[in-house]
Amino acid sequence: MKKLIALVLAAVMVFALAGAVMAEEIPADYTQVKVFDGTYGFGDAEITAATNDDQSAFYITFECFDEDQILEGTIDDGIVTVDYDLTGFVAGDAQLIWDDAVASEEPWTPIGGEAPAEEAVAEDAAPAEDVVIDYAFDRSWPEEELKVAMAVYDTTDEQFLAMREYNDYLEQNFNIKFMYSESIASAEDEIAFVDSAAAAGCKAYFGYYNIAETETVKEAQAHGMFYAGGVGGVGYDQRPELADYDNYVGSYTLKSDLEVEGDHNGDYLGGYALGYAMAQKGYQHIAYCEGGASFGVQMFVDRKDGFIDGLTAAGYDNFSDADLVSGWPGTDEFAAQQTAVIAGDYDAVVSSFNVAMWFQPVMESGKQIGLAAIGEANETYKDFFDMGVVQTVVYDCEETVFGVYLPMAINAAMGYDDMTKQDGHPLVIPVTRWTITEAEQMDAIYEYHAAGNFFVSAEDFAKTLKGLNPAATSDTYEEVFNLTLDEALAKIQ
Amino acid sequence: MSEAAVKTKKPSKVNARLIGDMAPYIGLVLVVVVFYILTGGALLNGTNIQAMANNVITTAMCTIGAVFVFAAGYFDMAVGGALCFSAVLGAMATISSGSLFVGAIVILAVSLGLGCIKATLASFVNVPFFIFTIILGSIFSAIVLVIMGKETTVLLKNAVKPIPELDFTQMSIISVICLAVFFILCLIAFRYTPIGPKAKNMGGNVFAAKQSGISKTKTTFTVFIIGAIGIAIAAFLLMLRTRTVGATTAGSVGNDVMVALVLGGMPLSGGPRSKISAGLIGSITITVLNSGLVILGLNTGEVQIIRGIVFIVVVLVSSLSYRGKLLPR
Repeated sequence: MKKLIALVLAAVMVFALAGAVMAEEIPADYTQVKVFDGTYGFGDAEITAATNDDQSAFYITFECFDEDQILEGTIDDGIVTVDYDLTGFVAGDAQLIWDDAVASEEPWTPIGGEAPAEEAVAEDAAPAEDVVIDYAFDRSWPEEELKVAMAVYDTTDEQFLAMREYNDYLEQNFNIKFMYSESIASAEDEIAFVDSAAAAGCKAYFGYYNIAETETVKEAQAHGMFYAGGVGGVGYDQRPELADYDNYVGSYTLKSDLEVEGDHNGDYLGGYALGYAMAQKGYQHIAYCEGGASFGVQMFVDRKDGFIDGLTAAGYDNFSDADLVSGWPGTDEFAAQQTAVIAGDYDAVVSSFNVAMWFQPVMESGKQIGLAAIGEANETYKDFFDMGVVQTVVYDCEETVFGVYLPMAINAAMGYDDMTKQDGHPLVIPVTRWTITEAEQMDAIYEYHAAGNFFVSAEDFAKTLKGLNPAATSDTYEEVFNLTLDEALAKIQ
Repeated sequence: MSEAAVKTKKPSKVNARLIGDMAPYIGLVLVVVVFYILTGGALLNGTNIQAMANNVITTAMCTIGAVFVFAAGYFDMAVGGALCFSAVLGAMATISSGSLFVGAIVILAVSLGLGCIKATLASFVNVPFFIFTIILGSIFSAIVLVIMGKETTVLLKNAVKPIPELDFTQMSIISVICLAVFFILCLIAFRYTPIGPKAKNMGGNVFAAKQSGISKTKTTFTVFIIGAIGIAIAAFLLMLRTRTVGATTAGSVGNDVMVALVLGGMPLSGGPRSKISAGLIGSITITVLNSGLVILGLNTGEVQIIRGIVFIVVVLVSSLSYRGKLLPR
């Protein structure tokens, strides 16, 4: 018995010593370490990964094939180069292991010390609303001017102009400069703008518009720019291959302020909100302008599907294909359908795009026809809301929806890698589009903006910048930007 | 009149003509210098020079080829449509076959085919040619939309086999080489072979040209084929660079070609004052101007105003070289 106990104790000591030896064998050049489990070509293993302060070198140890394995090498822009492989068998797994080390939720521990102070702070981070930023908002941060390129489809579009106002406001508070494209009509225009932006010294790229899809991300990455925005209109959640691009930061995903069952994209939710709101208001015969749905344009197909489901959810059962208005304004076909709707017994018209082309015909007819659209909180919509003509607007508030791209891009360009990934993958930040159903709501939003105010102020914006708020995490984006209509209105009352 | 008086031209007329001839070059130099200063040197940094080389290629190829067409008196407004059509079909062929070579052949064949269609209409149908090209441009765009169906873009990454990718610098080098070779060949053809003089004669006066023994049909087909080769090369390089083509591809090329010709000092009506250098100088001027305006970060209105001013100034100065009195046509 005594011999057995002695053997067991000896074995424990040997293993402990081996572990200690391995830990002690981590060269002095490496300052932080983490331990995590992984599965690779050689099987499962507990990995000990060490790196230096700027993560430009690695030292990895683990056991497989009943042998101790040691890999050592350098890291350049996330790509590992193996300089030393103890057994010569596992160098091929080095990249995967390093990627997992970075993505692992285990914190980097200073060798011989406790968890880094900033990690501890992050774990105990206060909610964004309680954070106080020590910054004068005098354009003194960042120290070197940071240029951000922004691709635009239509430089005269109202939504873009509103976004530009918000950007101008940010430029007054932070040492950042926006560079805008001309109206991009084709993939070559977009690629050319990426090149020009790089030549002008832009470090971040805001894909407010994207037509060349991943080629734009690739081109931006080739120039060392970080890309924040949708690719072909969607983000990582719908295009997992975007994780292959190291410089792709992420995008938003649109949510509705209505509760909708199932997982749906922003276009579906926008259509759903329109249908639901108008049915709830008691309209009996609703016409729907389907835009590009009849041509198979997916965005409009999704909006139409959402609209029909929204009607159904609100108990409206009077909709049929005969109530569809197809095509685009400016064509004879659309004009004929518009005339037929006005002359018919419709009491509402919902548009999957702008509804301004209905204002005059409705006013001239003298009929009480309610209008609804995916639109803007501008003076025109406000006035027609006040007159009772417009009844519902689904609105993407520029600073709360699109504004989230800006701190993503800025943090990435400033080198704060922990602000550019969620669980090791590109960011997907939920933001809410507002369903405005009351004139008072529209008035409040319009007047708040008209007075030069924004629902995400410079102080709020600063909370998402790691350089100004060390406690910021990737969750802070949602805390600051994901405002429902009620939360936004509560802020200004 | 004395011999001395016959031989001596008035100095003011000589100076005006010289200034008019040099206006495109002066304009280019001025645009480069002014924007170099305004952009703090960013206009001519290494990255931007490469970017401009990549951006100029499409317009320059089409414009150099279009010099022959416009010189012969044909106002072709279907350049953009033809480029888009060729690029889309070439990209589809590339994706289906997994071969850039197949795509290049398709682009060349389609472009030459469209060039021959235009040449046939120009040679045998007695209707002002520009009317045909307006309609042809719309037809080409419509056919592209039908061919593409519900897809809005054709992506080379969807090819059955991986298509080689060129990085930014490689693309710049290829663009410069292609441009240089095509320009030199067109320069030789325009100045040192009968093609150029025949085209200019036709553009000057088609009846006089016919009576001089110039075959309208042969010359017309020749100039449109040269134009089509330029369009084909532009389409291939554009497809290679962006790896994305669609119905909006080359949407502004038609206008850019005409602006480039005028900025290059060539009258759009063609004729004896046509010059092959107009294609190159005008294209480079537009590219430098656009690049400088983007880097400056001006708003849309300011950009349009500056472009308009530059255009008007260059055209006005170029017009100093135009002869005031012409024989009736």
